[in-house]
Amino acid sequence: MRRTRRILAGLSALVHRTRADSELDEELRAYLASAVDGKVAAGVDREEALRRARAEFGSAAAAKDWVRDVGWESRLESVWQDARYAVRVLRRSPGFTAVAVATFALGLGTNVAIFALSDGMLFRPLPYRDAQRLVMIQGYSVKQAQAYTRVLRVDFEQLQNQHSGIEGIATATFDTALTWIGSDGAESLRTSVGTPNLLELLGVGAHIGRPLRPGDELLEPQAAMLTFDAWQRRFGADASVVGRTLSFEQRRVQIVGVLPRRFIFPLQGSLADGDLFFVEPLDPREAADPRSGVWTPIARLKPGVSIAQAQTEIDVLVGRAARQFPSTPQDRALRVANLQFALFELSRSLLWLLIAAAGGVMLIACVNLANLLLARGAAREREIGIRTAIGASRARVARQLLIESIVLGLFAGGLALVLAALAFDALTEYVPSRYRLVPSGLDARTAGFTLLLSIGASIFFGVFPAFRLAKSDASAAMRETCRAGASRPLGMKTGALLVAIQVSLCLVLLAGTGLTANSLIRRRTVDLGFTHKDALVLNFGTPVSRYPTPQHMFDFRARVLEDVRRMPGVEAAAIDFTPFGGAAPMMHAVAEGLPEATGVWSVTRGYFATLGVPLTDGRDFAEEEIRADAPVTIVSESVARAMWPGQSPIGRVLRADRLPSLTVIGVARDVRGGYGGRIRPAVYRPLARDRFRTSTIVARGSGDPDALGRALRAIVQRLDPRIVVAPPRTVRASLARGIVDPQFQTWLFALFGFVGLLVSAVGIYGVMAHWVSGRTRELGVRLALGAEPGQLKGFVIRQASIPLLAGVGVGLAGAFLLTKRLQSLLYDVTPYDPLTFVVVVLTLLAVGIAAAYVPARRAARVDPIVALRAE
Amino acid sequence: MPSEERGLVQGTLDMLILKTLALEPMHGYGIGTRLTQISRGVFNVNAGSLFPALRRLERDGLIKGDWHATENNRRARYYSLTAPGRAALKAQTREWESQAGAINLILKASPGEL
Repeated sequence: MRRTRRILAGLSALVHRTRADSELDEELRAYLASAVDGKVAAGVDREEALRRARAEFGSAAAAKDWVRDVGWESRLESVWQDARYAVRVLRRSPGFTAVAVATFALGLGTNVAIFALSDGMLFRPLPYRDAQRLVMIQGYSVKQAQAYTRVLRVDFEQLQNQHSGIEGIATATFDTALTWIGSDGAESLRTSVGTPNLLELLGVGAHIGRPLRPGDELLEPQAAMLTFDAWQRRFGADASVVGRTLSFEQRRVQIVGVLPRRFIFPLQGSLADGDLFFVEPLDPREAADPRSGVWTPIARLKPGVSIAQAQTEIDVLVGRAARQFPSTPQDRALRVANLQFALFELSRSLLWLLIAAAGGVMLIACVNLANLLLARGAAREREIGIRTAIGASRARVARQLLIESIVLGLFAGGLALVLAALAFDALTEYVPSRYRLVPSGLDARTAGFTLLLSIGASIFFGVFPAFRLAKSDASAAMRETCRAGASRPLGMKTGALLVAIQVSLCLVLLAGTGLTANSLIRRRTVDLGFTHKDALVLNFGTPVSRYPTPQHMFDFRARVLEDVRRMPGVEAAAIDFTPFGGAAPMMHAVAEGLPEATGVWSVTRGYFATLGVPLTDGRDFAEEEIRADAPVTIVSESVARAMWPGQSPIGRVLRADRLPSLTVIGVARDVRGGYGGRIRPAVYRPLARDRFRTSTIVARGSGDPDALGRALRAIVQRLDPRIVVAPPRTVRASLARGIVDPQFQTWLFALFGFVGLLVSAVGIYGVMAHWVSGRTRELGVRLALGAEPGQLKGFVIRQASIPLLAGVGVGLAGAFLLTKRLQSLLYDVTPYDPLTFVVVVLTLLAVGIAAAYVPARRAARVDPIVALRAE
Repeated sequence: MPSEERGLVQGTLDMLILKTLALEPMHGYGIGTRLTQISRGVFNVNAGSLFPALRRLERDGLIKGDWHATENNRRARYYSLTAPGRAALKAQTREWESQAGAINLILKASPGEL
């Protein structure tokens, strides 16, 4: 009660500040007048009465201050005054301010960017109602200790029908592509399909229109929702799209709504990438087959049911289903996991690693701020001394200094947001899609995080310099600054310690940068086994409606190939399945003696020549062998070595499970599926029959790949305008997509290392510059006594190298302990790679010495006369 | 905060002001002189202590101030007790009396009793 009254009174005083002030003035005047009146009445003459009353009254200004201090609002006002004073002080030394703000902002910005990246995956609840009650139910084989992406349909139905701790369960059905024939050719829209209750289970509404619900699967035309992104991109955010019917090649759908902006499909991989969402029940034709599966289901637990409880119950249900259907795998189990945890399982450890590294950058930036504040504090001792001398308490001075560092922190925070926003825009396309699963970016949460971090860090690292400075002896400070140049090494010891800390942290970060960069270089320079990276890969789908049999598909693709080859200087061939970008082959050859994971690929004549894979023995397939599906094969070198060591494999017969006996007619070089990928032992077969609905053609011309790509597309569309052709991509681009993750990690570590190095360099420069300016007199004396400027330079640099070397030593120890954690990110490089460490240490030392060189040169240029006269 | 008034325990000034105002509404100077008079010159409260105390009491809703004309026809802020102020005075007086009584007992105790 009393507290609320105080708060209200304070607020009203703040609002009516001038009125309250003038009332107080008037009251005090009235008091003085009454005092005079009283004394006059007692017989004192008016002049004397006035004098005495004034003396008794004391300073009116002081009295006013004391009255003001009664309320809490006065503290607020004085903080505000301090803040304004801080801004003035900072503006008076723009150089210091700019450096301090910029370096701090770099550290903050790095952390803001990493926060924005990881917030959605680690910290922010998923955009569903009561998301903590949602779980993912993963299939698991006990015998093989391996997780599956599918769960048996019978198990799913058990969970659906039994009354248990599960409130509801839903899953996705296959993603399909719908073909849209627009004005500029056919294109495909990706769809995500879920069971009818999916949105209801997630508790997700619609941005506009209505969400899909059970029953919608029965509507004709089929009801569908657009994702927010597709709505923006393809329909220009036009609200009238709701209610419209769209005719695709395959079916007609009616758009009933748009999914919310922050919606994500709680599914992994391409299932989450749809433009269009509709609902379908599980295929009733599959219900009879107990071995049919569904995609990893999502379930909602009833309130109060723990994951452990649900797990126990599900174990019982799965056991029952296994006994009921003896033909199903008996060693299967279902694992219940928190949805958010399960969705981002793969990214989590990397994200924490990035957060830790960003924390290192933050620490460097904070230490740097403390260092700069200390060095600057030394230069301000005189000002502080005067303030203390005229009565400012130490606490008051310390508060003022602390507020200064908070103001610095806030400026830096603002700049950091701008930097992070710029970096985000520039980096968006390089961010691997799995980090984009949760729409991240700069929002109120990020801004709040920035505010907290900048204020928190500036308080934490401003406290020490502030109190240290406030404690400094006023009279001593004033005496000393009068004797300009007297060297009291204030801050040098602390400064050196701080520099050493910075350098050691920086070395750990640079080790990360060096190791990831080294790995990336090794990945990129690995011998892929083929030479023509500028060959194009063209994918097109042959819909079942017009190409019902493999023969139809074969003929169509043969016509395309023929037309492509007719172009001058163009070589082309077909393969059943793109081997680039890390995808595994659809079929493996298994036989005694064959290397593990030997893939089976089917190709047409000319495939090896088009890609530039040398045939080290034998010959390519002949056209007749392709057409006739002849029992011949070309094997890769590793297969040849494993099966027939030291002998020519030509004419030998390869027998493998599920393959006819194949006569070897050639040997091809080993090929890797991507940068840093493993060698892929391969068995090549004639591509006589297509097994997939998507055809893949590789083609290579002598000119511009883009022009060739357009020509290829035009050829397919001329032959059949209703076929969707994916934009042709060079092999190089496909390979690049395979290393987006390592590339992204390397860029981030490079950013951390660069920021750390830059900020540390500023720290070293600041400390040495301060040290030199504190020793102007000593340096002058040395010069006057005949020291060479070069010797002085060396002297300063030797001083700087003490903390530098100490930091390197500690940093190396730290790095050896920590780089183990990077193991999973590295390729062909050990976490202790000597070359990397040598380069890192040399870089750090070079930058450190360069930073110390600037003040060292200034030291060598000290004019002895000026230095001594300053005494 | 200045503490020139001899021996005035923190918080006691507030109680004395409340007591003074219990008789009639008064302005700042009036309160000061009345305190000096009643204490026969022992308590000499100056403006630097008086006004912060008044502000504090007003903030807490124990007194309220209104502008009135003085006997010399000046405008001055007259303070009067509010109902919570009256209650607070009663409570503080009781508290004070019991404490003062106890302290007196201790101070007057004979060596044997201690």
